[in-house]
Amino acid sequence: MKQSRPNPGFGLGLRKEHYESVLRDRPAVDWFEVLTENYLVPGGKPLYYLERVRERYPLAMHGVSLSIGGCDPLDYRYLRELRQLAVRIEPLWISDHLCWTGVNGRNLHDLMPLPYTAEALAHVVERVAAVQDFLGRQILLENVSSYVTYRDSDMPEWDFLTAVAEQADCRILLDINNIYVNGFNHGFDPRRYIDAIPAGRVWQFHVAGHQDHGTHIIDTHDAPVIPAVWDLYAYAWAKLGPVAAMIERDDHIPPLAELMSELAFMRERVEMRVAAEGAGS
Amino acid sequence: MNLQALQNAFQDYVIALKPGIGMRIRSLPGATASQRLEIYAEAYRLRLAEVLRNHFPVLAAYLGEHAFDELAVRYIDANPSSQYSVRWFGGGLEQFLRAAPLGQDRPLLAELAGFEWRLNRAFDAADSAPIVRAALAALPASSWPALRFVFQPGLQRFKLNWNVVEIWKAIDAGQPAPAPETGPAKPWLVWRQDLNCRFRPLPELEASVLDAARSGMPFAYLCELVDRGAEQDDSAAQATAFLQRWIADKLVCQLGKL
Repeated sequence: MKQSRPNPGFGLGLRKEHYESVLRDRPAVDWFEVLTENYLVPGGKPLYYLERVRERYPLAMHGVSLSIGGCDPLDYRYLRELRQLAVRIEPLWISDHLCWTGVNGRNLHDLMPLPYTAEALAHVVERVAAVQDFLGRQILLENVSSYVTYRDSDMPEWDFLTAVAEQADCRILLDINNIYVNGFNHGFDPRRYIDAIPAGRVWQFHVAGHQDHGTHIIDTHDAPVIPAVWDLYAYAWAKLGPVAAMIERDDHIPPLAELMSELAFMRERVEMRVAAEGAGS
Repeated sequence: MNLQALQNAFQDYVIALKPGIGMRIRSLPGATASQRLEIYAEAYRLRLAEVLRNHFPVLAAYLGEHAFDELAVRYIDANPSSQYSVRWFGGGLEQFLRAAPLGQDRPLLAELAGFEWRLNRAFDAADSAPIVRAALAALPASSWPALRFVFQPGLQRFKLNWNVVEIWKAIDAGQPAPAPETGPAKPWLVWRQDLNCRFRPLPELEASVLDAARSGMPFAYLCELVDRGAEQDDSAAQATAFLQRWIADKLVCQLGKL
Protein backbone atom coordinates (compact mmCIF):
# COMPACT_ATOMS: atom_id res chain seq x y z
CA MET A 1 0.00 0.00 0.00
CA LYS A 2 3.02 2.29 -0.17
CA GLN A 3 3.34 4.83 -2.91
CA SER A 4 6.10 7.30 -3.68
CA ARG A 5 5.62 10.91 -2.64
CA PRO A 6 3.48 12.75 -5.19
CA ASN A 7 3.87 16.49 -5.58
CA PRO A 8 0.72 17.91 -7.09
CA GLY A 9 1.93 21.50 -6.44
CA PHE A 10 0.12 24.37 -4.78
CA GLY A 11 -3.41 24.02 -3.47
CA LEU A 12 -6.23 25.71 -1.64
CA GLY A 13 -8.94 24.53 0.69
CA LEU A 14 -12.22 24.07 -1.17
CA ARG A 15 -14.91 26.21 0.50
CA LYS A 16 -18.58 26.37 -0.42
CA GLU A 17 -18.34 30.14 -0.95
CA HIS A 18 -16.09 29.41 -3.94
CA TYR A 19 -17.89 26.44 -5.54
CA GLU A 20 -19.41 28.47 -8.36
CA SER A 21 -16.31 30.47 -9.21
CA VAL A 22 -14.11 27.37 -9.13
CA LEU A 23 -16.37 25.65 -11.66
CA ARG A 24 -16.90 28.75 -13.78
CA ASP A 25 -13.43 30.31 -13.79
CA ARG A 26 -11.24 27.19 -13.51
CA PRO A 27 -8.65 29.05 -11.37
CA ALA A 28 -5.00 28.01 -11.67
CA VAL A 29 -4.99 25.98 -8.47
CA ASP A 30 -3.10 22.70 -8.78
CA TRP A 31 -5.32 20.81 -6.33
CA PHE A 32 -7.89 21.35 -3.60
CA GLU A 33 -8.10 20.03 -0.08
CA VAL A 34 -11.64 19.22 1.09
CA LEU A 35 -12.91 18.95 4.66
CA THR A 36 -13.96 15.32 4.72
CA GLU A 37 -16.85 15.62 7.17
CA ASN A 38 -18.60 18.22 4.97
CA TYR A 39 -19.11 15.47 2.39
CA LEU A 40 -20.06 12.58 4.64
CA VAL A 41 -23.71 13.42 4.05
CA PRO A 42 -26.37 11.47 2.14
CA GLY A 43 -26.65 13.81 -0.89
CA GLY A 44 -27.55 17.28 -2.11
CA LYS A 45 -25.35 20.27 -2.92
CA PRO A 46 -22.15 19.30 -1.06
CA LEU A 47 -21.68 16.05 -2.99
CA TYR A 48 -22.94 17.59 -6.23
CA TYR A 49 -20.26 20.27 -6.14
CA LEU A 50 -17.60 17.89 -4.85
CA GLU A 51 -18.02 15.62 -7.85
CA ARG A 52 -17.95 18.48 -10.31
CA VAL A 53 -14.81 19.96 -8.79
CA ARG A 54 -13.26 16.49 -8.78
CA GLU A 55 -13.85 16.23 -12.53
CA ARG A 56 -11.53 19.22 -12.92
CA TYR A 57 -9.01 19.02 -10.05
CA PRO A 58 -7.18 16.49 -7.88
CA LEU A 59 -8.53 16.48 -4.31
CA ALA A 60 -7.06 15.57 -0.94
CA MET A 61 -9.37 14.56 1.92
CA HIS A 62 -8.68 16.27 5.24
CA GLY A 63 -10.67 15.06 8.26
CA VAL A 64 -11.16 16.19 11.84
CA SER A 65 -12.98 13.21 13.39
CA LEU A 66 -10.52 10.32 13.42
CA SER A 67 -9.49 10.97 17.05
CA ILE A 68 -6.40 8.90 16.45
CA GLY A 69 -5.15 9.59 19.98
CA GLY A 70 -8.52 9.16 21.70
CA CYS A 71 -9.14 6.39 24.23
CA ASP A 72 -12.55 5.39 22.85
CA PRO A 73 -12.52 2.53 20.34
CA LEU A 74 -12.00 3.59 16.72
CA ASP A 75 -15.29 4.63 15.11
CA TYR A 76 -15.70 2.13 12.29
CA ARG A 77 -18.95 3.68 11.15
CA TYR A 78 -16.98 6.86 10.45
CA LEU A 79 -14.15 4.90 8.84
CA ARG A 80 -16.57 3.06 6.55
CA GLU A 81 -18.04 6.36 5.40
CA LEU A 82 -14.54 7.72 4.92
CA ARG A 83 -13.61 4.73 2.80
CA GLN A 84 -16.77 5.05 0.69
CA LEU A 85 -16.05 8.72 0.01
CA ALA A 86 -12.47 7.83 -0.95
CA VAL A 87 -13.78 5.29 -3.46
CA ARG A 88 -16.05 7.97 -4.89
CA ILE A 89 -13.45 10.73 -5.34
CA GLU A 90 -10.12 8.88 -5.46
CA PRO A 91 -8.25 11.42 -3.35
CA LEU A 92 -4.54 12.17 -3.57
CA TRP A 93 -4.41 11.11 0.08
CA ILE A 94 -6.40 11.09 3.32
CA SER A 95 -5.23 13.15 6.28
CA ASP A 96 -6.34 13.89 9.82
CA HIS A 97 -4.76 15.26 12.99
CA LEU A 98 -2.42 13.92 15.65
CA CYS A 99 -4.83 14.61 18.49
CA TRP A 100 -7.92 13.34 20.29
CA THR A 101 -11.42 14.78 19.89
CA GLY A 102 -13.44 13.26 22.76
CA VAL A 103 -13.96 10.24 25.01
CA ASN A 104 -16.87 8.28 26.49
CA GLY A 105 -18.92 8.76 23.34
CA ARG A 106 -18.62 12.56 23.45
CA ASN A 107 -17.16 14.76 20.76
CA LEU A 108 -15.63 18.12 21.62
CA HIS A 109 -15.26 18.97 17.92
CA ASP A 110 -11.81 20.29 18.69
CA LEU A 111 -8.28 19.05 18.06
CA MET A 112 -7.23 18.28 21.62
CA PRO A 113 -3.50 17.93 22.29
CA LEU A 114 -1.92 14.65 23.37
CA PRO A 115 0.71 14.31 26.10
CA TYR A 116 4.05 13.39 24.54
CA THR A 117 4.60 10.14 26.42
CA ALA A 118 5.57 6.57 25.57
CA GLU A 119 2.04 5.48 26.51
CA ALA A 120 0.40 7.93 24.09
CA LEU A 121 2.92 7.02 21.40
CA ALA A 122 2.19 3.28 21.65
CA HIS A 123 -1.56 3.97 21.69
CA VAL A 124 -1.45 6.13 18.55
CA VAL A 125 0.88 3.78 16.68
CA GLU A 126 -1.45 0.85 17.25
CA ARG A 127 -4.48 2.81 16.07
CA VAL A 128 -2.76 4.20 12.97
CA ALA A 129 -1.93 0.64 11.96
CA ALA A 130 -5.59 -0.37 12.36
CA VAL A 131 -6.80 2.63 10.35
CA GLN A 132 -4.29 2.08 7.56
CA ASP A 133 -5.24 -1.59 7.37
CA PHE A 134 -8.92 -0.70 7.17
CA LEU A 135 -8.46 2.01 4.54
CA GLY A 136 -5.87 0.03 2.59
CA ARG A 137 -3.62 3.06 2.35
CA GLN A 138 -1.21 5.15 4.38
CA ILE A 139 -2.64 8.23 6.02
CA LEU A 140 -1.13 11.64 6.76
CA LEU A 141 -1.22 12.99 10.30
CA GLU A 142 -1.01 16.70 10.98
CA ASN A 143 0.66 18.43 13.94
CA VAL A 144 -1.92 20.55 15.80
CA SER A 145 -1.77 23.88 17.57
CA SER A 146 -1.85 23.64 21.34
CA TYR A 147 -2.24 26.04 24.21
CA VAL A 148 -1.36 23.78 27.13
CA THR A 149 1.79 21.90 28.12
CA TYR A 150 1.15 18.69 30.05
CA ARG A 151 3.29 17.90 33.08
CA ASP A 152 3.21 14.27 31.86
CA SER A 153 5.00 15.00 28.56
CA ASP A 154 8.54 13.68 28.56
CA MET A 155 9.64 14.36 24.99
CA PRO A 156 9.40 17.36 22.65
CA GLU A 157 6.52 17.51 20.21
CA TRP A 158 8.77 17.00 17.19
CA ASP A 159 10.17 13.77 18.63
CA PHE A 160 6.64 12.53 19.31
CA LEU A 161 5.45 13.34 15.76
CA THR A 162 8.53 11.75 14.22
CA ALA A 163 8.20 8.60 16.34
CA VAL A 164 4.52 8.22 15.41
CA ALA A 165 5.33 8.52 11.70
CA GLU A 166 8.31 6.15 11.85
CA GLN A 167 6.77 3.51 14.10
CA ALA A 168 3.28 3.55 12.53
CA ASP A 169 4.71 3.98 9.02
CA CYS A 170 2.40 6.86 8.19
CA ARG A 171 2.99 10.23 6.51
CA ILE A 172 3.14 13.72 7.95
CA LEU A 173 1.08 16.75 7.03
CA LEU A 174 3.30 19.46 8.45
CA ASP A 175 1.40 22.59 9.41
CA ILE A 176 3.93 25.41 9.35
CA ASN A 177 1.62 27.84 11.09
CA ASN A 178 0.99 25.38 13.92
CA ILE A 179 4.73 25.00 14.45
CA TYR A 180 5.02 28.78 14.62
CA VAL A 181 2.05 29.05 17.01
CA ASN A 182 3.34 26.28 19.29
CA GLY A 183 6.86 27.71 19.22
CA PHE A 184 5.42 30.96 20.57
CA ASN A 185 2.99 29.34 23.04
CA HIS A 186 5.47 26.82 24.44
CA GLY A 187 8.71 28.70 23.99
CA PHE A 188 10.75 26.77 21.42
CA ASP A 189 12.52 27.67 18.18
CA PRO A 190 10.29 26.59 15.26
CA ARG A 191 13.35 25.88 13.12
CA ARG A 192 14.53 23.32 15.61
CA TYR A 193 11.19 21.53 15.15
CA ILE A 194 11.55 21.51 11.36
CA ASP A 195 15.16 20.33 11.57
CA ALA A 196 14.03 17.25 13.52
CA ILE A 197 11.38 16.08 11.02
CA PRO A 198 12.41 13.28 8.60
CA ALA A 199 12.02 14.71 5.08
CA GLY A 200 10.75 11.56 3.41
CA ARG A 201 7.75 11.37 5.74
CA VAL A 202 6.34 14.81 4.88
CA TRP A 203 3.80 14.71 2.08
CA GLN A 204 2.03 18.01 2.59
CA PHE A 205 2.47 21.49 4.09
CA HIS A 206 -0.27 23.69 5.49
CA VAL A 207 0.16 27.40 5.94
CA ALA A 208 -2.50 29.61 7.50
CA GLY A 209 -3.16 32.80 9.41
CA HIS A 210 -3.72 33.14 13.13
CA GLN A 211 -4.58 35.62 15.87
CA ASP A 212 -1.87 37.03 18.11
CA HIS A 213 -3.20 37.80 21.60
CA GLY A 214 0.12 39.06 22.91
CA THR A 215 0.55 36.42 25.60
CA HIS A 216 -0.46 33.57 23.32
CA ILE A 217 -1.37 32.89 19.69
CA ILE A 218 -4.56 31.16 18.60
CA ASP A 219 -4.64 29.17 15.38
CA THR A 220 -7.79 30.58 13.80
CA HIS A 221 -7.30 30.16 10.03
CA ASP A 222 -9.18 33.42 9.58
CA ALA A 223 -6.53 35.83 8.35
CA PRO A 224 -3.72 36.18 5.79
CA VAL A 225 -0.45 34.37 6.49
CA ILE A 226 2.05 36.58 8.36
CA PRO A 227 5.61 37.21 7.09
CA ALA A 228 7.25 35.16 9.86
CA VAL A 229 5.18 32.11 8.85
CA TRP A 230 6.15 32.64 5.19
CA ASP A 231 9.80 32.71 6.26
CA LEU A 232 9.34 29.49 8.19
CA TYR A 233 7.58 27.95 5.19
CA ALA A 234 10.54 28.83 2.94
CA TYR A 235 12.85 27.30 5.54
CA ALA A 236 10.76 24.12 5.70
CA TRP A 237 10.65 23.87 1.91
CA ALA A 238 14.45 24.09 1.74
CA LYS A 239 14.81 21.38 4.39
CA LEU A 240 11.95 19.06 3.45
CA GLY A 241 10.77 19.96 -0.06
CA PRO A 242 9.58 19.60 -2.68
CA VAL A 243 6.27 19.01 -0.89
CA ALA A 244 2.66 19.73 -1.91
CA ALA A 245 1.56 22.88 -0.11
CA MET A 246 -1.74 24.63 0.47
CA ILE A 247 -3.24 27.63 2.24
CA GLU A 248 -5.97 26.99 4.81
CA ARG A 249 -8.68 29.56 5.35
CA ASP A 250 -11.68 28.43 7.37
CA ASP A 251 -13.23 31.67 8.56
CA HIS A 252 -13.68 35.20 7.19
CA ILE A 253 -13.47 33.58 3.78
CA PRO A 254 -12.37 36.22 1.24
CA PRO A 255 -13.19 36.19 -2.48
CA LEU A 256 -11.31 33.49 -4.37
CA ALA A 257 -9.20 36.14 -6.15
CA GLU A 258 -7.70 37.21 -2.82
CA LEU A 259 -6.70 33.65 -1.96
CA MET A 260 -5.30 33.25 -5.47
CA SER A 261 -2.92 36.15 -4.88
CA GLU A 262 -1.85 34.59 -1.58
CA LEU A 263 -1.28 31.34 -3.46
CA ALA A 264 0.76 33.17 -6.12
CA PHE A 265 2.85 34.64 -3.31
CA MET A 266 3.41 31.14 -1.96
CA ARG A 267 4.63 29.92 -5.34
CA GLU A 268 6.95 32.92 -5.62
CA ARG A 269 8.46 32.22 -2.22
CA VAL A 270 9.40 28.76 -3.41
CA GLU A 271 10.64 29.91 -6.80
CA MET A 272 12.76 32.64 -5.17
CA ARG A 273 14.24 30.10 -2.83
CA VAL A 274 15.02 27.68 -5.66
CA ALA A 275 16.52 30.51 -7.76
CA ALA A 276 18.62 31.72 -4.83
CA GLU A 277 19.96 28.24 -4.26
CA GLY A 278 20.72 27.89 -7.98
CA ALA A 279 22.60 31.24 -7.95
CA GLY A 280 24.54 30.20 -4.88
CA SER A 281 25.71 26.84 -6.19
CA MET B 1 -2.07 10.25 35.20
CA ASN B 2 -2.64 7.74 32.39
CA LEU B 3 -3.92 8.76 28.96
CA GLN B 4 -7.52 7.71 29.59
CA ALA B 5 -7.70 9.56 32.92
CA LEU B 6 -6.11 12.65 31.39
CA GLN B 7 -8.63 12.72 28.52
CA ASN B 8 -11.55 12.18 30.93
CA ALA B 9 -10.36 15.03 33.13
CA PHE B 10 -9.73 17.41 30.24
CA GLN B 11 -13.13 16.66 28.71
CA ASP B 12 -14.84 17.14 32.09
CA TYR B 13 -13.20 20.53 32.23
CA VAL B 14 -14.24 21.57 28.72
CA ILE B 15 -17.84 20.35 29.01
CA ALA B 16 -18.59 20.95 32.68
CA LEU B 17 -15.71 23.20 33.85
CA LYS B 18 -14.56 20.64 36.45
CA PRO B 19 -11.07 21.78 37.48
CA GLY B 20 -9.27 18.42 37.90
CA ILE B 21 -7.16 18.70 34.75
CA GLY B 22 -5.54 21.91 36.04
CA MET B 23 -3.06 19.89 38.09
CA ARG B 24 -1.68 18.29 34.92
CA ILE B 25 -0.96 21.55 33.07
CA ARG B 26 2.21 23.61 33.38
CA SER B 27 2.08 27.35 33.81
CA LEU B 28 4.43 28.99 31.33
CA PRO B 29 5.56 32.58 30.87
CA GLY B 30 2.78 34.59 29.27
CA ALA B 31 -0.24 32.71 30.57
CA THR B 32 -1.08 30.57 33.59
CA ALA B 33 -2.37 27.00 33.34
CA SER B 34 -5.94 28.11 34.00
CA GLN B 35 -5.74 30.87 31.37
CA ARG B 36 -4.50 28.32 28.85
CA LEU B 37 -7.24 25.87 29.74
CA GLU B 38 -9.87 28.58 29.36
CA ILE B 39 -8.92 28.87 25.69
CA TYR B 40 -10.30 25.34 25.17
CA ALA B 41 -13.48 25.84 27.22
CA GLU B 42 -14.23 29.12 25.47
CA ALA B 43 -13.40 27.80 21.99
CA TYR B 44 -15.70 24.80 22.57
CA ARG B 45 -18.71 27.01 23.27
CA LEU B 46 -17.89 29.56 20.57
CA ARG B 47 -17.43 26.88 17.95
CA LEU B 48 -20.65 25.03 18.69
CA ALA B 49 -22.58 28.31 18.98
CA GLU B 50 -21.29 29.15 15.50
CA VAL B 51 -22.49 25.76 14.25
CA LEU B 52 -25.96 26.52 15.66
CA ARG B 53 -25.93 30.01 14.12
CA ASN B 54 -25.14 28.48 10.74
CA HIS B 55 -27.92 25.90 11.04
CA PHE B 56 -30.51 28.32 12.47
CA PRO B 57 -29.67 31.64 10.81
CA VAL B 58 -33.22 32.97 10.85
CA LEU B 59 -33.88 31.97 14.47
CA ALA B 60 -30.58 33.69 15.36
CA ALA B 61 -31.59 36.87 13.55
CA TYR B 62 -35.10 36.78 15.01
CA LEU B 63 -33.88 36.39 18.58
CA GLY B 64 -30.96 38.80 18.21
CA GLU B 65 -27.31 38.06 18.88
CA HIS B 66 -27.38 38.24 22.67
CA ALA B 67 -30.47 36.10 23.23
CA PHE B 68 -29.37 33.55 20.64
CA ASP B 69 -25.92 33.23 22.21
CA GLU B 70 -27.52 32.66 25.62
CA LEU B 71 -29.79 30.01 24.16
CA ALA B 72 -26.85 28.41 22.33
CA VAL B 73 -24.70 28.15 25.46
CA ARG B 74 -27.58 26.65 27.46
CA TYR B 75 -28.19 24.11 24.69
CA ILE B 76 -24.48 23.30 24.35
CA ASP B 77 -24.11 22.76 28.11
CA ALA B 78 -27.20 20.54 28.24
CA ASN B 79 -26.42 18.54 25.06
CA PRO B 80 -22.77 17.53 24.67
CA SER B 81 -22.25 16.27 21.13
CA SER B 82 -22.09 12.54 20.58
CA GLN B 83 -21.87 12.60 16.77
CA TYR B 84 -18.62 12.70 14.86
CA SER B 85 -19.94 15.47 12.61
CA VAL B 86 -21.25 18.84 13.80
CA ARG B 87 -23.79 18.46 11.01
CA TRP B 88 -26.17 16.79 13.50
CA PHE B 89 -25.48 18.91 16.56
CA GLY B 90 -28.57 21.12 16.34
CA GLY B 91 -31.01 18.24 15.93
CA GLY B 92 -32.35 18.60 19.47
CA LEU B 93 -32.82 22.37 19.55
CA GLU B 94 -36.54 22.30 18.75
CA GLN B 95 -37.24 19.90 21.64
CA PHE B 96 -34.90 21.81 23.92
CA LEU B 97 -36.79 25.03 23.20
CA ARG B 98 -40.17 23.38 23.84
CA ALA B 99 -39.02 22.53 27.36
CA ALA B 100 -37.04 25.73 28.08
CA PRO B 101 -38.64 28.75 29.79
CA LEU B 102 -37.76 30.91 26.75
CA GLY B 103 -39.57 28.51 24.43
CA GLN B 104 -42.54 28.15 26.75
CA ASP B 105 -42.95 31.93 26.86
CA ARG B 106 -42.68 32.13 23.08
CA PRO B 107 -43.81 28.80 21.58
CA LEU B 108 -43.23 29.98 18.03
CA LEU B 109 -39.46 29.82 18.63
CA ALA B 110 -39.49 26.03 18.83
CA GLU B 111 -41.58 25.88 15.65
CA LEU B 112 -39.14 28.21 13.88
CA ALA B 113 -36.22 26.04 15.01
CA GLY B 114 -38.06 22.93 13.79
CA PHE B 115 -38.74 24.55 10.40
CA GLU B 116 -35.10 25.54 9.90
CA TRP B 117 -33.91 22.09 10.96
CA ARG B 118 -36.20 20.48 8.38
CA LEU B 119 -34.65 22.70 5.71
CA ASN B 120 -31.21 21.52 6.86
CA ARG B 121 -32.27 17.90 6.60
CA ALA B 122 -33.71 18.40 3.13
CA PHE B 123 -30.53 20.23 2.04
CA ASP B 124 -28.31 17.16 2.17
CA ALA B 125 -30.86 14.34 2.15
CA ALA B 126 -30.06 11.41 -0.12
CA ASP B 127 -30.41 12.07 -3.84
CA SER B 128 -33.18 10.35 -5.77
CA ALA B 129 -34.25 10.30 -9.41
CA PRO B 130 -37.76 11.76 -9.69
CA ILE B 131 -40.49 10.09 -11.74
CA VAL B 132 -41.41 12.15 -14.78
CA ARG B 133 -44.93 12.74 -15.98
CA ALA B 134 -44.38 10.70 -19.14
CA ALA B 135 -43.69 7.59 -17.03
CA LEU B 136 -47.11 7.95 -15.48
CA ALA B 137 -48.79 8.63 -18.81
CA ALA B 138 -47.26 5.46 -20.25
CA LEU B 139 -49.04 3.24 -17.71
CA PRO B 140 -52.13 1.32 -18.88
CA ALA B 141 -55.35 2.46 -17.18
CA SER B 142 -55.81 -0.99 -15.69
CA SER B 143 -52.66 -0.66 -13.57
CA TRP B 144 -53.68 2.60 -11.87
CA PRO B 145 -55.82 1.30 -8.98
CA ALA B 146 -52.96 -0.84 -7.64
CA LEU B 147 -50.30 1.83 -8.12
CA ARG B 148 -48.17 2.78 -5.09
CA PHE B 149 -45.66 5.60 -4.71
CA VAL B 150 -42.26 6.03 -3.11
CA PHE B 151 -41.29 9.56 -2.14
CA GLN B 152 -37.93 11.33 -2.03
CA PRO B 153 -35.88 11.07 1.20
CA GLY B 154 -35.86 14.86 1.70
CA LEU B 155 -39.66 15.11 2.03
CA GLN B 156 -40.95 16.12 5.47
CA ARG B 157 -44.57 16.63 6.50
CA PHE B 158 -45.35 18.59 9.65
CA LYS B 159 -47.79 21.05 11.18
CA LEU B 160 -47.31 24.63 12.29
CA ASN B 161 -49.45 26.56 14.75
CA TRP B 162 -47.64 29.84 14.20
CA ASN B 163 -46.84 32.03 11.19
CA VAL B 164 -43.19 30.96 11.34
CA VAL B 165 -42.85 30.55 7.58
CA GLU B 166 -43.93 34.16 7.02
CA ILE B 167 -41.43 35.22 9.68
CA TRP B 168 -38.73 33.04 8.08
CA LYS B 169 -39.41 34.48 4.61
CA ALA B 170 -39.32 38.08 5.83
CA ILE B 171 -36.04 37.68 7.73
CA ASP B 172 -34.48 35.67 4.93
CA ALA B 173 -35.29 38.53 2.56
CA GLY B 174 -33.85 41.10 4.98
CA GLN B 175 -37.29 42.53 5.86
CA PRO B 176 -38.76 43.16 9.32
CA ALA B 177 -40.50 40.10 10.74
CA PRO B 178 -44.32 40.23 10.92
CA ALA B 179 -45.99 40.05 14.35
CA PRO B 180 -46.46 36.51 15.70
CA GLU B 181 -49.85 35.02 14.88
CA THR B 182 -51.29 31.73 15.91
CA GLY B 183 -54.28 29.66 14.89
CA PRO B 184 -55.29 26.06 14.25
CA ALA B 185 -52.36 23.84 13.24
CA LYS B 186 -51.80 23.78 9.48
CA PRO B 187 -49.99 21.12 7.45
CA TRP B 188 -46.75 22.03 5.66
CA LEU B 189 -44.34 20.29 3.38
CA VAL B 190 -40.54 20.68 3.06
CA TRP B 191 -38.62 18.91 0.32
CA ARG B 192 -35.70 19.28 -2.05
CA GLN B 193 -36.24 19.95 -5.72
CA ASP B 194 -32.99 19.26 -7.58
CA LEU B 195 -30.48 21.03 -5.30
CA ASN B 196 -32.82 23.55 -3.71
CA CYS B 197 -34.94 23.28 -0.57
CA ARG B 198 -38.62 24.05 -1.12
CA PHE B 199 -41.65 24.38 1.12
CA ARG B 200 -45.36 24.99 0.79
CA PRO B 201 -48.54 24.77 2.85
CA LEU B 202 -50.73 21.76 2.16
CA PRO B 203 -54.51 21.82 1.96
CA GLU B 204 -55.92 19.43 4.60
CA LEU B 205 -57.22 16.99 2.01
CA GLU B 206 -53.96 16.85 0.09
CA ALA B 207 -52.12 16.34 3.37
CA SER B 208 -54.14 13.29 4.34
CA VAL B 209 -53.94 11.83 0.82
CA LEU B 210 -50.17 12.40 0.80
CA ASP B 211 -49.83 10.72 4.22
CA ALA B 212 -51.74 7.70 2.91
CA ALA B 213 -49.62 7.56 -0.24
CA ARG B 214 -46.41 7.76 1.81
CA SER B 215 -47.57 4.93 4.02
CA GLY B 216 -47.86 2.75 0.90
CA MET B 217 -51.59 2.89 0.18
CA PRO B 218 -52.49 2.32 -3.51
CA PHE B 219 -54.04 4.87 -5.83
CA ALA B 220 -57.53 3.31 -5.52
CA TYR B 221 -57.43 4.00 -1.77
CA LEU B 222 -56.26 7.58 -2.37
CA CYS B 223 -59.34 8.08 -4.57
CA GLU B 224 -61.54 6.75 -1.77
CA LEU B 225 -59.98 9.22 0.65
CA VAL B 226 -60.68 12.07 -1.75
CA ASP B 227 -64.22 10.83 -2.16
CA ARG B 228 -64.77 10.96 1.59
CA GLY B 229 -63.14 14.34 2.03
CA ALA B 230 -64.06 16.36 -1.04
CA GLU B 231 -67.25 17.90 -2.21
CA GLN B 232 -66.56 17.41 -5.88
CA ASP B 233 -67.84 14.40 -7.77
CA ASP B 234 -64.78 13.25 -9.61
CA SER B 235 -62.52 11.82 -6.90
CA ALA B 236 -60.20 10.14 -9.43
CA ALA B 237 -59.61 13.47 -11.18
CA GLN B 238 -58.81 15.18 -7.85
CA ALA B 239 -56.46 12.38 -6.74
CA THR B 240 -54.77 12.54 -10.16
CA ALA B 241 -54.36 16.30 -9.76
CA PHE B 242 -52.61 15.78 -6.43
CA LEU B 243 -50.35 13.19 -7.99
CA GLN B 244 -49.49 15.44 -10.90
CA ARG B 245 -48.53 18.20 -8.51
CA TRP B 246 -46.30 15.80 -6.56
CA ILE B 247 -44.63 14.73 -9.76
CA ALA B 248 -44.15 18.32 -10.92
CA ASP B 249 -42.56 19.07 -7.52
CA LYS B 250 -40.31 16.01 -8.03
CA LEU B 251 -41.55 14.39 -4.83
CA VAL B 252 -42.17 10.93 -6.28
CA CYS B 253 -39.13 8.81 -7.05
CA GLN B 254 -40.57 5.35 -7.61
CA LEU B 255 -43.80 3.69 -8.77
CA GLY B 256 -44.78 0.27 -7.51
CA LYS B 257 -47.67 -2.15 -7.70
CA LEU B 258 -49.65 -4.23 -5.25
